Amino acid sequence: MTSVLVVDDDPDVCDLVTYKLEQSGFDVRRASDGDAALREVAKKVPDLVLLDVMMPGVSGLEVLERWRSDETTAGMPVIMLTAKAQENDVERGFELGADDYVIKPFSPRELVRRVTAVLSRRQSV
Amino acid sequence: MPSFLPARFLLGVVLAGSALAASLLLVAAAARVLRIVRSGRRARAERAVRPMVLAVASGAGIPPELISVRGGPGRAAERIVFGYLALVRGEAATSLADVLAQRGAVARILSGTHSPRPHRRARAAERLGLIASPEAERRLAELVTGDQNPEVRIVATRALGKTGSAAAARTLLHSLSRPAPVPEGIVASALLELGPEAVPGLRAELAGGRRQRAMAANVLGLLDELPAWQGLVENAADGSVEVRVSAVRALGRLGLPQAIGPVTACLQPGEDPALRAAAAHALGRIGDPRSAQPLAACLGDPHYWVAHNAAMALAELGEAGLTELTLAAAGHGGRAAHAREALARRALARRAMARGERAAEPARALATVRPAVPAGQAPGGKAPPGPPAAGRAPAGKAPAGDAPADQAVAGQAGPAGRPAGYGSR
Repeated sequence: MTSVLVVDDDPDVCDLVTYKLEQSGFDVRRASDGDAALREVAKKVPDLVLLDVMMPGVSGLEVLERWRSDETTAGMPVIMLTAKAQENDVERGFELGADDYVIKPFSPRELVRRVTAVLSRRQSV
Repeated sequence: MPSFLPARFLLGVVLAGSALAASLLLVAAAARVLRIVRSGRRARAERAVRPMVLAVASGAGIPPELISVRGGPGRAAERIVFGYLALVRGEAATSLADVLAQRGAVARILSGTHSPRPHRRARAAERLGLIASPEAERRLAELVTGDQNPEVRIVATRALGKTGSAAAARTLLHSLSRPAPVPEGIVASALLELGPEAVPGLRAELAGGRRQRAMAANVLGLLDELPAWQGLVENAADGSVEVRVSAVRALGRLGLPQAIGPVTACLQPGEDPALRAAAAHALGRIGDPRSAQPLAACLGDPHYWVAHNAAMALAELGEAGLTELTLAAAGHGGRAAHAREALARRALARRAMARGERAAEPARALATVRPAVPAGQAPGGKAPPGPPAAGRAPAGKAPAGDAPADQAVAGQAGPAGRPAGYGSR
């Protein structure tokens, strides 16, 4: 089963994304901040990460930067979750190697489509 | 027994005090227990209905239990639905709004907008923005233009921006014409929140009243609405200074070389200094080398922001602009000072870029690093000795009371009060 790590400090977002992804057949793990995300990935590298940009403590961009500089996680697909007001962070996210981004508020159906698209793109490479 | 009465009195006071303290403790403990019981009940109610709401938000159908549930779980369901309405869009948002409509919550909220208490009207308006049904939009439009309380109008304006409705754009623009309108920044934010849906209304209002045109031009520029450029050119050539400045700024943001002619026309000495400063900045953003000559002619302008923006714009034009700046920097007076500042900023920006820093950093570094000066010039990037011309401030310092025409690019000033927006196009 394809594993997805959802990283967001908003439990409502985590609940919704987890529910939708599980319904679509993914195995979902969750982390509520950057440190927890780093720990989760250190335990086991997921097939894809949905990463919130703005989080308390280590920000999503910093987390992404650390993953990209690590050989084991450099190729791990990451989709950034960002609020509309932080669209500038999208550019920075792409510079750091994000695969795609989803702006909140989001359509759960579209989110799953993006996850599937990124995964299939990675598999075809 | 003279001491008996005071002793009994004191004993009574102590006993009364103890009783009061005990009863207060009892009340506090009871309140705490009540709070715990209530929050436990609330959490249980939320746990019971949350999966149903999650299912709706995820695209499943609406379970009948979610519509029929009443009391604590019913209130919990509505709270959760509103929470998720703020997180989702598209079909999920429509389904969640349907839940509220079927539960009768929308009718309750609509009636809440008629409450005599402003905070209730504001709360209802905020929720209507999330529901975004046609009737919610209609009521929000009435509140934006007609509510007596300014704070309710502000909340309704923001809420109308969240509806994503095309018709909302014109309502928001027309609200600017009412007496004591909502602050323009809030209307602009609401229009930006509408996003591409706002574009038809904004373009139509480019031929509207003065305030509508100015706002429409600004927002179209911020939305990067390239097809609107001709309408913006018309507004840059005709109308009040406010409208023209907004149109010129928007043309700069769009960055289309087709706009060079009309924007350069706004740079002419006979025009308003605010418009000229905006035009100079816009030409920098467009970044076409053909603007080098007209901008270079402004370097010695007596109006600080015209000269300053012209120098900064020249730094964005590549070789043609750099040639003009280098020539001017070799001279004397304000013209040379502005050119040197622009060259120094550019050099610092390039150095920062080479170090992988963000574009905003060089301006901060300017305070501590001596700018590069062409050989044979005054050290430290300062203009040669001599009094500045009347009405002009030395480079790097804005004259007091001289409103920076283009300082408010995107409504922000850069570090140290300098105009923002030079770091990138």
